[in-house]
Parts: sequence; C-alpha cells; structure tokens
Amino acid sequence: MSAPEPSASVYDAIVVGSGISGGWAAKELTEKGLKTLLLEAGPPVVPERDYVEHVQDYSLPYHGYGNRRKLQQEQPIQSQTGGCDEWVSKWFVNDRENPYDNDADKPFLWIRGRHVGGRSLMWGRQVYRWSDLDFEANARDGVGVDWPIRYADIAPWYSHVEKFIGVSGQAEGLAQLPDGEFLPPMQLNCAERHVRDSMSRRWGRERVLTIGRAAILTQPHLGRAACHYCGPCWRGCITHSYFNSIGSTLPAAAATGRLTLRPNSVVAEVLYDPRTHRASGVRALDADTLETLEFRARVVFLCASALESARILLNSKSTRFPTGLANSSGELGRNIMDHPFGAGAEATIPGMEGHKTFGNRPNGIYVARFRNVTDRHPKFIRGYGFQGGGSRARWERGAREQGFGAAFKNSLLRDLGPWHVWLGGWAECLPRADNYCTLHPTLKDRWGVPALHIQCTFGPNEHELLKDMQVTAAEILEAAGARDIQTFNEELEPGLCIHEMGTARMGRDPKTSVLNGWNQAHDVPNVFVTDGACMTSSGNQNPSITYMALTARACDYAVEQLKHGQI
Amino acid sequence: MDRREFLESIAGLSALLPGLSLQRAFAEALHARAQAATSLRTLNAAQDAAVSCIAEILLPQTETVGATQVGVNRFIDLLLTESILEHDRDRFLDGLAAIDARSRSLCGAPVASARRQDQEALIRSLDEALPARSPTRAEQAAIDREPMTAERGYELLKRLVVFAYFTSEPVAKGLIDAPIIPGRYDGCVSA
Repeated sequence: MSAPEPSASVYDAIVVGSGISGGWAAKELTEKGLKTLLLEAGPPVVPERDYVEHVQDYSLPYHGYGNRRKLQQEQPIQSQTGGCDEWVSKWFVNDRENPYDNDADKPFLWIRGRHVGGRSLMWGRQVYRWSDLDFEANARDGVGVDWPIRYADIAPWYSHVEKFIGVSGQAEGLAQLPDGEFLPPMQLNCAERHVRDSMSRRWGRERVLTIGRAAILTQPHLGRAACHYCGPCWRGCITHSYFNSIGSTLPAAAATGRLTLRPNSVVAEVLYDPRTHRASGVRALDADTLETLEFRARVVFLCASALESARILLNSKSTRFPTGLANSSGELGRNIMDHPFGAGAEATIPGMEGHKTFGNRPNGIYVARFRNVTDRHPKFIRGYGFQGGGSRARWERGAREQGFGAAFKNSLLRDLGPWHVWLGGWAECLPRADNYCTLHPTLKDRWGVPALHIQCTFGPNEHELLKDMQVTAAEILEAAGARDIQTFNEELEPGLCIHEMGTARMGRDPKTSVLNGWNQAHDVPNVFVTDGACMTSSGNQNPSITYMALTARACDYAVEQLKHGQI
Repeated sequence: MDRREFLESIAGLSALLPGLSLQRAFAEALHARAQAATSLRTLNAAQDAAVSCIAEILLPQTETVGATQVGVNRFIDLLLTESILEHDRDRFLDGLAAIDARSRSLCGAPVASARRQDQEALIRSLDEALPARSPTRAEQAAIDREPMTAERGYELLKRLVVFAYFTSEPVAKGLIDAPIIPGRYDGCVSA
C-alpha cells in the first residue's frame, strides 16, 4: 500500500470505510485498474500485535469477566453485545466519543467498530444467499418499495464473492436458501444430528436443519490456512482462516499497487460540485490532529455502514441538496431495519452422554425459513431462520446447578454435563418510514461531526414473528424428545443484532428511493452506497454476503460507466 | 485463625509442599493469611472469612486444589474492587451480610465460625433454593429491586466462586487442560 498523497490529490475512486463492504470495494476497484483511496475513520490493526484469539482466560486481569466499571463508563452501549469482551472491547467504539441519541422510550443500540477492517473483524461469519422469496417480498406484500433487482441479477456475484472469501456449508437444494460455492461443511455434533433427523422424520423437507454456512475455511484456500478450531474467531485469526478485510480483500487490493489506505480519517461529508452535478470528493478530518483534509476522485463509494453512510450524506448539505446529498426523495435516513432476534427455545437432549465433541467449532446450526414459504401465515408476513447449536454444559453449569463439596467439584471437573440445544430465531424486519435517523441539532462526536438522532422500534409484525419462533422452536425440540424445554424472549432492542440497514434504499423510482439498481445514487451518479444502507428489505438471513455481492456488482458497473464516460 | 482453619491450612500446604515441617508450615500459613488479609481492598476480615469459608465448602481441596488454594477470595475481591459495578458490589456485600445473619439466627454464629455440620446444613438449604433457570432480563431487573436475601446472596457468591475457580490458571491449565489449538473438529466422539 502506498503512503497517502497530499490531500488535494485526485484519485480515480474514494472508498469510505474499510469493513466488509469497503474492503470489497477497494479490492474490486483496484483490480479493475482504479487508483483508489480507502479512508478509514479508525486506527490500523496489526494482527501480530492485536489478535488475541489464543489468549486464555487466566492470562487476563479479570479472567474474561471484564472491567465492567470501565465498560459502563466508556462503552455502556457497545458492552451490551457479547463480543465486546475483555479481549476485544478495544475493537468497539468509545460511546462517549461517538454519541447519538434516541427517544428514551425507543432505545436503539448502535454497535460500531472503527478501525481498519471495521466490523469484519468481529462479525458472526454467517453467510446465506437471498432468494426471490426475498427480492420479490415487498412487491408481493405491498410493503415499502420493490427491489430493483432479482436473484438472477445477484447470483453470479454471490458466486464471485463466495469463491474468494471461502464459505463452508452443505448444499441442501432449498429454493428459499439457495446453495452457493461451498467448501466442505463442518460437522454437526451428536445432539444436532439427532435434532436434524427428528425434524426430517416429522417435517420432511419443510423444516430443514443444516450446518451453518460460514465464511470459515475447512480447507486451505487462496493462500489462507484451514481453520484450526481454537474457537473465538471474533478476537482475530492469525492464520486468516475466517474472512475479514485485513486478511483477504485489503491484501488483494494492496497487491495491485493502486491502493492508498489512510486510517484515522474521519469522513464528514461528500463534496458536491454544482457545475458538474457530480461529487468531487470528500471532506475528512484527521482523527488525531483534527486537520481538515479534502480528497478528490471521479467516483465515491460509501461503505461506512448503514447509519454512518447515512450520516455522511445527511451532513453533505448544499444549495442543491439542503437536506443531504442525494436526498431528493426524502428517503435518506429512513426505513431503518434490524433483525429481531433473541427468542426461541432451549432444552436438554438425553441419551448421548457417552459422546462429546473434539475441538471448538466456530459455527452453529441453521434452520432455513419455513414460514410463508409455500403457504401464508394468518398472523404475520415474512419469516425467520433459526440459528443455534448443541453443546455440553461443562463446568459452566456449576454456577446454576445444585450441589457443593467434593462430589460437586469432581463432577464439574470430570463430567461434561448433559447435552443442551438451543434454537433462536433471526426474523425479517419490515421497512417503515417512521424508523429513521436525522442529524442531531446540537450533539456532535469527538471530531465535531453532527451526531445522529435515531428513531427505531419493532412493529406488530416483528413481535408476531418473535412469538411464533418460540412456539416452533419448542415444537422442534419436542419432536427431538428433548427435556426441560424452555422458551425465551429476551425482548432485545433494535440495533443489537448489528444488522442495521435500509437508510438509503435501492429502488426504481427516484421519488421513493435513494439508490438505483446498481447502488448508484439517483441524484448524483458518481456516488455509490453499497453497505447495509442500500437494502430495500431485510430478509431474515444474515446480510453481509449480500452487501459484498452488491458491492462487487456495483464496482463492476461503476468501472464500466467510468470507461464509457457516463459518470 | 481457629483450630479448624489451622488444620485446613496445614493440610493444604502440606499437600503442596510435602518437605515442610509442621512448624514451618504453620508459620507459612499465618504469613499467607496475613498477606492475603492486607492485600484485600474491598472485603473486610469478616466478609473475607465468609467468602473463603463458603468457597471451600463449595469446591474443597481434595486430591485436586480447592477454592481457597487458588485464591478465589482474592480474585473476588479484585472484581469487587475494580470491576463489578458499585450497585452490584453493594448487593453482593449485602448478600454476604444476609448469609451471616441467617447463620447467626440458625447456628448462633457467622458462617465462618459455625460448626462444620451447621455450615453444611446452611449451605444445603441455600443451595436447594437456587432457581432452576436463568431469569429473563425483565425478571432480573425485578430481582435487583428487591431487598437482598441470603438465598440471592448465595446465588451470586456461588456463581463467582465457580467462575473464579475454573478460570484460575491452576485449574484451567492444570486440571481441565483443553487444547488451545485442537487442529480439527469432530462432532461426535466417545467421551
């Protein structure tokens, strides 16, 4: 990677954000010949120094319990997600420096990572293609606006991405969850196989349990090593066996010699040239010195995350766009979605105590959507997929299990405890105009950029889905002969799934959408937004692979347009 | 240090350091206890005695190390001093007080000074009251608003003792010793 050039330099492309989408934009644009500046708001991450996946509990001051007072003080929002732990709370933002607000009765949890690689370092690594059940959903249900693309438009790009990132998974031939370019699947464990077989006997191909489709290598792939099953991918992976920007897309981009990566560069706005009706570049702040920087380019890709990209556009005001760049529709910042989750059922599965697992599989199970696939549910539209898994409770059960004394201690040391299985639903969230973000009138972040006011709640359809997933999860466990079945609904706030999306949706009509079918701003043709902001509906699948595929597709289009002088 | 504590300390030290004379072991035990007492920053002597006593009843020294040998009380003191939120710390200490109050009422003495069989009877009664499942967030919020009880105090303490013991280096590394880099995953092998 070359050193940043003086801020007045002109690049072919600027990419804002180095996470899962920005890494892909940088790779595709540089590989297609564009001199590209990648601006990242946070600091660099050095794997040899910063990855901590092999650090054991006892090597930490609080054994993984964390310094909860410090978290409460500096990261009261970030620490509500499990990954923000004693190992890697450093990869989640300081909430004091990165404020936003919401109405007190409408909490929204915005979980952010600001460093090179963004949230691709800590992501869940689950990758599921969408199908036309998803791309046609809004049109079919009369909700929001229709997607301007269909599965056939994105399918080759899913393949393109999967072949590069490496996805382990099992082909199942399900129309609602298309198969991809899979590396060998990881194994289901004893309890999961039992539940899968029970489901198959009871529901046939209607309810199908499969191993999670994960961006984790089960064999060497493009110079990256296969997984060694240490477990906690979200703390980094020195062998680059799971996909993130640092180990995959950014090295590929750098290898072209056309990438300039500038960390600690907080982009505040996209600059608009009224003479050309195009973006001319971006204004950024050096995160350390607060020096104002301007960078020029022929095309700008916003990949800063759904809410950050919306914030940058809302803050890019001009005479032509007084409410924010590319906002002639008024839809910018609206239609925030996040997957409702945290509801389902758990139970013990008796009868396999003579078996255990070996190794720490960094992956769970998946039950493909079965609601509103071939029929219509009377109480809700759309559906959910289950994630979860089977495991033995080991010593951790001792905190709740009755007992004390030598026998109790020896039991915790020697017995693995019963097999436990949980299933939790990840449900679709409908787009609603009254779930929105705006620039806060006075609140600013540490760098002086206006903060967001976020307004987002789940509606009746989401609550019905959360209810139903408890019932069907319990049904599935009952069919498997499970004991002590307990349903749960954690009533988690929107945002906590960290799948926020929809703030600059794609659509056919510039009056009702921000982006067209190529992730290109209707109003400003050399501005592309390819992170979660672009999503027209939310599906129920984990969204990252769709962001990656849309990014690669948009890059291909943008480069062609540049070649032909169209933008 | 009473006779029971002394004997337990000797037993522990003797197991670890078989070459020590009894007299020297006693001196070492006294020194270790004094060191521990002065290094604690939140737990007072009575609270530390309660924590150490219950921790050792929960996870006693056998052929393998016990809770006090791995310093469960010191680790809990560290968490109470630096990590656990002040409100939760106060609840925890209220819980210890509630356990001691229960012990005084049932056994005529704080738990650490009660007779062994009385200690075990008290712990058994508290243990049998453990909730069968984790509370939901809403239930937890309601519990946190209620006055502290011996049952709740025991639940919090047991959770911390188990965590402190099994994440300590002698136990995690010496007794459990799961491979850090297994190199493969097998979903179903004989236990």
